[in-house]
Amino acid sequence: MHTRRRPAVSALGLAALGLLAASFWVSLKLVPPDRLMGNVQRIMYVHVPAAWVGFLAFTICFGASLLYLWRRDLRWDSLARTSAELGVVFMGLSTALGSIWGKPTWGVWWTWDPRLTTAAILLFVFLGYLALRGFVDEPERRARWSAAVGIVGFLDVPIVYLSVFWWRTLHQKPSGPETVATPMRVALLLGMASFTLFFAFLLAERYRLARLESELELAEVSHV
Amino acid sequence: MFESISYASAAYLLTALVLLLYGASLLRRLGRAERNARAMTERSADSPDSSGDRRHRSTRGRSSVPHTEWTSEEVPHA
Amino acid sequence: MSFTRRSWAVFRKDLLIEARTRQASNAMAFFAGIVLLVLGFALGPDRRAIQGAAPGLLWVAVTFTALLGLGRAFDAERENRGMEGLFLYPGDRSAVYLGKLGALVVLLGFVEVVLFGLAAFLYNLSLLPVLAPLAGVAALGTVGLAGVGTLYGALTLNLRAREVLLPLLVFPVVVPVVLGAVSATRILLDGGGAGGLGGWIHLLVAFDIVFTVAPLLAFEAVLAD
Repeated sequence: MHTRRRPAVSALGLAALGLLAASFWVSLKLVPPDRLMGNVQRIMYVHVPAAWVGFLAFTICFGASLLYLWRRDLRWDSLARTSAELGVVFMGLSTALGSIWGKPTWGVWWTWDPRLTTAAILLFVFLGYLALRGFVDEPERRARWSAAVGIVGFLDVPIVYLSVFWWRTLHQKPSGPETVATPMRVALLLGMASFTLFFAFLLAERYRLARLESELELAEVSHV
Repeated sequence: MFESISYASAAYLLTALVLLLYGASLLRRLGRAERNARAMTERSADSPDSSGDRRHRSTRGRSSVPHTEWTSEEVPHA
Repeated sequence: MSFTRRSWAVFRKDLLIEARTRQASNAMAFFAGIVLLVLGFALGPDRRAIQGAAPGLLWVAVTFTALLGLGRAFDAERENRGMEGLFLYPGDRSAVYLGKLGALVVLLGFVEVVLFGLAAFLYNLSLLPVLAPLAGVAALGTVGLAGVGTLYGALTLNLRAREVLLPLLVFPVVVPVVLGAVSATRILLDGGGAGGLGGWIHLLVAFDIVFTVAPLLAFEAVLAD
């Protein structure tokens, strides 16, 4: 087992941090405030990337869960578990950011916007995923069962989105997001890139931690 | 105007906090786990009957766990 | 023993046990009644508010009652290590899923008759004109809830925190069922201008198909111990 810290990952982390810092500076200082919403609109440059990364993470978890059930290699389970945790962090952050954006913009902390609601439900699905894992001790069974939860939960997401969308349009016009002007688009893309890069770094390190924990667990079992 | 600045600042502060705190705690946990793993391999490299037990470890038999069975000859370098 | 016969055996066993002990159905009916009462009190004496909220109240009661029933559906298996007994043959697991699902749906159906009747009484609803379509919507919603719930109920069967885990796992997934059932019920109770009803029915049917077939297939793989 390699216990040396890999330089490539550390470099990735530093690069991501740098890009994040640059992105923050651009979003807060360089880009002009929105004509209608003012400075509050800047929240979009962190809210959207966070949501994007959250969704990306959950998709990875979905794929890794499928691969585990197919291959029965615990490494896929480690990847699934890792991306689920990261997804919860980023999606949770995105939801909080959306709420902070919503209060001055629409006057409410929460609105039953289809995308927001679906994101919240997705968050709960994977909170349940992590909770279930906490209560199953046997590694292989834990991997199988959480894979089932990850797959079923993720598959449900488009159905949830559709149903919330229809439900909303029955009662209100859905509150659409704004169109994005060019300098704002650059800031948004920079945000997406920096978040994705940082996510890649976190994924690599968290996966490594998951592998170490998994091997430690198996070693403890064998020493009993 | 002031209100809109403070909302945006709160949002960015929150973002920075979450990302940095999570990253930092992750690196700390990782460091601890690596030290644990290193200590374990050194410990079991010293104990005489290690290799035989670990090779015939019984799991459910269905999961394939890669590269964790090392013998006392292949102590990893820190 | 064929798949159908195995499913039927499990289905019959669960219903027989229930018919003899009436443990779960009594608890569920009582619980449903309490939920309806509390909701009625919570909304206050404004009859119009209650009638406006009635579809939602109904399905809140159904959902909570279903969760209660789910928790109890595997009681017999939990107490006597019965799951292992059920799983003696390959192909058994999916049959068990189907049998348990069917039994739960029937049980919930009986409780829902009581529930809807009580709601009609408490909230002054006129259900008789739309009784048949309402029963259809209720059936679709119940199958959706039970389909997902039976899968997760089996997973959380022996876990310490199953009373918390089961609702946590089930609820996010069945949101479309709740939304669809409530919306369809609302359309029906509002005098049934069938505007939009078809869409919601389609959603419920699609959900039911996906979330009974998927667990059916998954049961075999996931519970293979």
